[in-house]
Amino acid sequence: MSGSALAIEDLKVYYWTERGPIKAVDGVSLSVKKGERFGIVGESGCGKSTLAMSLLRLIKPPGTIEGGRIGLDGTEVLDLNDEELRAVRWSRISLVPQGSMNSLNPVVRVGSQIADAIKAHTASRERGDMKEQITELLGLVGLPSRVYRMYPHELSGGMKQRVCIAMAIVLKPQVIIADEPTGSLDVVIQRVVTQTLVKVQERLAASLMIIGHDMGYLAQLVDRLAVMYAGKVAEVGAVENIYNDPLHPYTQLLIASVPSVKEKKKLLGIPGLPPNLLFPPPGCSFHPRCPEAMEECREQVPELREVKPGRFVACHLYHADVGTAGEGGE
Amino acid sequence: MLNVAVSGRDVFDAFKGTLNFVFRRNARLSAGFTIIFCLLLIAVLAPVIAPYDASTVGLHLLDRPPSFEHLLGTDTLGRDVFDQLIHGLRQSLIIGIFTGLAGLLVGTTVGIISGYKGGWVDDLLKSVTDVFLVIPTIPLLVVLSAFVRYMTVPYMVVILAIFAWPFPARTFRSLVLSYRKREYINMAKLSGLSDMKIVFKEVLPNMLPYVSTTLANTISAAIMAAVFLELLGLGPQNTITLGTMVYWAMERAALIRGLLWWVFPPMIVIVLIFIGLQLINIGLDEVFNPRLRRGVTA
Repeated sequence: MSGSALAIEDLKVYYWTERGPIKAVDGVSLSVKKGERFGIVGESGCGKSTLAMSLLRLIKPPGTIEGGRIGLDGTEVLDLNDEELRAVRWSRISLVPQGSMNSLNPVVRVGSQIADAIKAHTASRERGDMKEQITELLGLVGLPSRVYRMYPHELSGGMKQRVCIAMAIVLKPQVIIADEPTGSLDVVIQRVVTQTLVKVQERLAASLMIIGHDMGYLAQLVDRLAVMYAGKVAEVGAVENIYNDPLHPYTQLLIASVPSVKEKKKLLGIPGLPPNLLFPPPGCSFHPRCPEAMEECREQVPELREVKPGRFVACHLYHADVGTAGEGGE
Repeated sequence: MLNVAVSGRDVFDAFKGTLNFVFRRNARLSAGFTIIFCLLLIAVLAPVIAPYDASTVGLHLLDRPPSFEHLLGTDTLGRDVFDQLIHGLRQSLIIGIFTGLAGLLVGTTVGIISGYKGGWVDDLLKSVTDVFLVIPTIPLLVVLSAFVRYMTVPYMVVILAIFAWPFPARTFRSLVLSYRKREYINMAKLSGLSDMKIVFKEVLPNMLPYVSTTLANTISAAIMAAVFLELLGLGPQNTITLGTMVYWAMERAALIRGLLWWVFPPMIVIVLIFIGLQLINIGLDEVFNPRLRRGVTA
């Protein structure tokens, strides 16, 4: 897996309840290439945020990381001790949080909040002029330098989110994780924030992992996309391929449920509800809602396999005969 | 008006801003500050203002009513009452302020550690705090003070401080509990800030309004307790405090003998201290908690 900035293998994150473990992330394997924009899409509760948090080892009890590997450009994140983890976090992998509204301390000026992250990671003599550095950083995310001396309540939602982006990149990490970076923002601001995020990512040549539930939004943004369902990866591939030729029935339905501006047609939802992760259905966890469910789906869990170059699908439809698998999606 | 920040200039700005705000907009707070400021000024300047030597007995004629020579008359032991009042105020304020500061310091430290660390540390500190909160303070204070053979002001501060910290500790523990789960604390942790940094730079600034009101509270509670002990005759024996003044006046039956100038001045000053501190307390609450503000036009 050389050339990948982030390599996740068979990652399992469980939340322990009195009735047993909830397998929020159940055997996920993914790799994100250097400089790539990678999207993870899935409905609420499919484990995408848990996946993001586990990459930074931010899972809190009763959640535990049960197994697997997280390789961050040669470093095993799960093997690090606290001190090493502290050094890796933020300087090599950072997070743009979901709720930017609450991610800034209301009583500390923006400038000094950003400065704290720098101070925590660099010795005082290596720092140079922090004010200048931070002002430049604010400029990079499109904020005027006066924001340096402002309090979070003086900023709008979009500005706060951009401050969070600036905070995430102070130490020039190779991997930026953005957990629904534009949630709770209106479309115009969404666009500005997204552009900022992309600009910053390109400037740093970093890998960006974006978590979201909006297929349309992610489609414009990412290079490759992973579709998650019930704690597992259903399909991974280049975003154009997934859109033009979705393989997994779940992906097909997900795309069909995005409204189109060009043609007026009845929107197809996905019947049923996501499964209870405490008692997942046997076999493929999507089979109760799947229009193409077969006998095999009820019994065997499909593995994620490469069915076409660069396209991975976890579905029995394609596993029987790899050669003719392509037709299933059309 | 929660201007809290780190650099010196920020602090200065914040201070200036707050002062402006306070004196323009909150009458209670400005009244409270004025009262306490005047009393503090008198206390600090006591050696300069006081015309005579307050602690020497038999310097003047006994039981004289107020005159130009003795503004508040003299007592049965031949001391000038005005003199005693000023020196007593000074000692009482010293007891109150030091006890208040000690209680606040210990209380916030214990509370923050307890709330932030959690686990067995919290269990231990919480239990100790609870025990201290449950013990009936007044009788124990009496017993403890009775054990001290020669009571002085520092002893008094120590004994009172033992009971001054649990309440702030309880308050700050619950505050920290609510703050430590906030998203920005998680972010600070994530970005690599140490626990100390998080407590001082992220949590504490949020709690400053509570720190200031708690200080006003602990000081007034400390003065109240001190006056109580002094009225029982358990106060410092080598100096005059407001409470001991009243104690001696009572002991010499000043009221029955009509020496009102001996009894009432210390009582009035004690009441003034409480009124001042309470006004500050209520005023701060109103300033910091926008929901309590009234009649404020932006």
